[in-house]
Amino acid sequence: MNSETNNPSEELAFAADALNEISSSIRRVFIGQESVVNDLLRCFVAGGHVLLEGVPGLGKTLLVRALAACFSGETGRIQFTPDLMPSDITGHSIFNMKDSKFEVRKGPIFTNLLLADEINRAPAKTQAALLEVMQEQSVSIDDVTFQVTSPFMVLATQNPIEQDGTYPLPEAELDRFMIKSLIDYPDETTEANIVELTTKGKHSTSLNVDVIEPCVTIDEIGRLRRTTTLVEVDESVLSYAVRIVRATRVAPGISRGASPRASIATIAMARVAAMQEARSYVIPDDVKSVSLPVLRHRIALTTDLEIEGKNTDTVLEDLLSEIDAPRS
Amino acid sequence: MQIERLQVVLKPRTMWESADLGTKLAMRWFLPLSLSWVLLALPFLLISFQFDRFVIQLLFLWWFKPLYERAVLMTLSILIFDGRITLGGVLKGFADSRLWFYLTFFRLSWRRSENTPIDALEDLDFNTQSQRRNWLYAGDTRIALIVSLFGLMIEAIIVLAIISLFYFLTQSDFNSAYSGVLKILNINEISKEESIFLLIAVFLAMWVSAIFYVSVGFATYIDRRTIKEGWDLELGFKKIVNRLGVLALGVFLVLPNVDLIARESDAETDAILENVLDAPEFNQTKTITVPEHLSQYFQDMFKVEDDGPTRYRVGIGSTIFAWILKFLLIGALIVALVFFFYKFYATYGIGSSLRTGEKSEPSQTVRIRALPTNLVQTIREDWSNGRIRDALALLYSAAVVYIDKKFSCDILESDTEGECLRKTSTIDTESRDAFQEVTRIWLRLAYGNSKPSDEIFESALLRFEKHIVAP
Repeated sequence: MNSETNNPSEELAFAADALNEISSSIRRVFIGQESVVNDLLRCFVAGGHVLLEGVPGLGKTLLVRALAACFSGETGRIQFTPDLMPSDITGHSIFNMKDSKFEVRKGPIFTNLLLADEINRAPAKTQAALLEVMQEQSVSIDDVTFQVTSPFMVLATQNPIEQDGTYPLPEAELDRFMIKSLIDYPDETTEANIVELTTKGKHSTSLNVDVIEPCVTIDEIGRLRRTTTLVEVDESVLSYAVRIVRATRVAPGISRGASPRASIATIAMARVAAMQEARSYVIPDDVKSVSLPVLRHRIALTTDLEIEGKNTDTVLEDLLSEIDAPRS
Repeated sequence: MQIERLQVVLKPRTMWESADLGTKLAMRWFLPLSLSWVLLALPFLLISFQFDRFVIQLLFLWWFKPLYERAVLMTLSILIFDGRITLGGVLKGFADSRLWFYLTFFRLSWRRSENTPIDALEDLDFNTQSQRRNWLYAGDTRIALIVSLFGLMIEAIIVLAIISLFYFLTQSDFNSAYSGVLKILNINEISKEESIFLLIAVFLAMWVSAIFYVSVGFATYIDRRTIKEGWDLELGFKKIVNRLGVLALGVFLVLPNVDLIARESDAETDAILENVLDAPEFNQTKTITVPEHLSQYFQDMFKVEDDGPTRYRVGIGSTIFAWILKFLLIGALIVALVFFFYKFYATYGIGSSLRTGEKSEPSQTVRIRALPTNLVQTIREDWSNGRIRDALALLYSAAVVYIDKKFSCDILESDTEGECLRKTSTIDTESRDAFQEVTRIWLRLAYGNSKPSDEIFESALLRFEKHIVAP
């Protein structure tokens, strides 16, 4: 990769190439689920956190490891359980008998990509341990604040089934996830490819991310993030994004609309979407393409619609089809 | 009864208001009333355990209900007249001979709640009690019936609730809990332990319902006496006398003279009245004949009925007025129901956009804008006058409208540029390329602030004119 320049066109071209390379690398081991990979990558570059929802066995851990392998990043994994304590995540200080001093033992949160597996299995106080780090990128242990390594992203997973004994994420924490991505079962052909890739010529039941060569460095991830600021957002596009978010607050069938944080997330994601095409400006298509993942976890449907079996995606799609796109 | 010591506000109340008052009384003195009931009923519960069959146990406990209620009534009457509760005061209510009728012949009487206060609290003989009841309630026993039925219902619900709660808390799964409830309700095959448990549940249910049953009956009694005997007026006068004691004494001293004057006035008045009544105008009669059905109609119309306890005089005119009001009310209710149904249907119904995702015409399909007649010339003028964005906005909007109209692409107002392009993928190549060209330069200018050159603009405009506008 070439070094950072002051030329926006070159930076955008670099960003588009880098994003395409990362995407291709991930797809070498993570078969199918293009939209999930796309959402994840956009969110990663936009500096957000992802909530992944899908049944077990669809490769959520693999996806995280694959993304980390692309930039030689560290990954951490926490299996959330009802007895997990906040200090199990953030770390704690212990008394060192030898030195007669307290020393901080950092928790698994000090990593680049943190997979919070089945986050809704832990009680609210443990979930809240993630709040500070998700928003401030820092962790406080015994009155000492530590910055987490950059880049940092939380990928929390939720299982849509087996909801008994779970603790639904509070709205404040949900809002801190930039997007919610849904991982669905792969189609027949994709599944056959996965099985073949996993089992052919080796005694294994899981895909190995060692085949992924790092395509960018950690510094280049920072460069990608800086490049997003070069992408312009016209006033009409900004207004379009805000109108979409505001519509969720007044739409029939939605009992809780999205917060202004959703508007900010929409624009941040749309910028990366534009950057993927080496475009220096955001168009309404970028906004629309990121609206579903940005909004789906930020709204709550009324009981009537839930009883009718409507889900947030269909309601949001209806809503998007009712908001005029900018034409002038 | 010293009504000036009453702890409730006296005023004529409707049937429901007096029931409400009874409920309030029960809640206010729930503890002492409960205590009096439990103290009397508990021995009967313990005795009932001695019987072998559950039906007999239950019957025994239930049969003596009037006895326990009497204790509650006496306690309530003492409390309501701000008295001191004593054993003697409570037991005084059991001296009534009619109590034994309630435990035998009249055990199934549903008028017990309203009759008991008369029997227990008014020192009357047997026959006078009946007359008194007939006069006081004037045959209106609705509240007594409702209270009796409601009491039964409440008891059944409480028993069922206690049983269900017990089994659903103690059993590990739903089926075991459900079978347990069903089993215990099958009283023919009930075990000794289960019968004790069920009896205790019945006891608790009877306890709660008795407090409210007696209180409502007593409140109804007070209300009837207020209406019939003017307790509220009596109390009002007593208060006035208390407040204006000196003045009242003065008035009392003057009263003999007033009486004398009144007597003289009465003699004069009688003479005048006799003269008036003897006058020919008062002795004229005239017969008017009307058709029979009309006669009946007018009789009904002006008939004055005494509706007994409600003390309202109701004629057919009032009835008609009431019917009109009733129809208006029902009409308003129907209109409200239709409105809410329509609102619900519009939001969530089969045809709603929320349910089907169908787009309603005015807001969804691309609007036919008021395009200028000389469209191309206007765009060109805007461009040459430096209104670049206006020119390209008009060019792009016009292209969308023409493409949609010409090729029926079903473009919506909510469709973004990319979606519009996807919807035009099946149209002929020249038109599609022309639309793509227009879209491209529009996107660059509108969102990227990149002005196209004059040549590119002119080329796009020409292709738009040739392949999109031209029929």
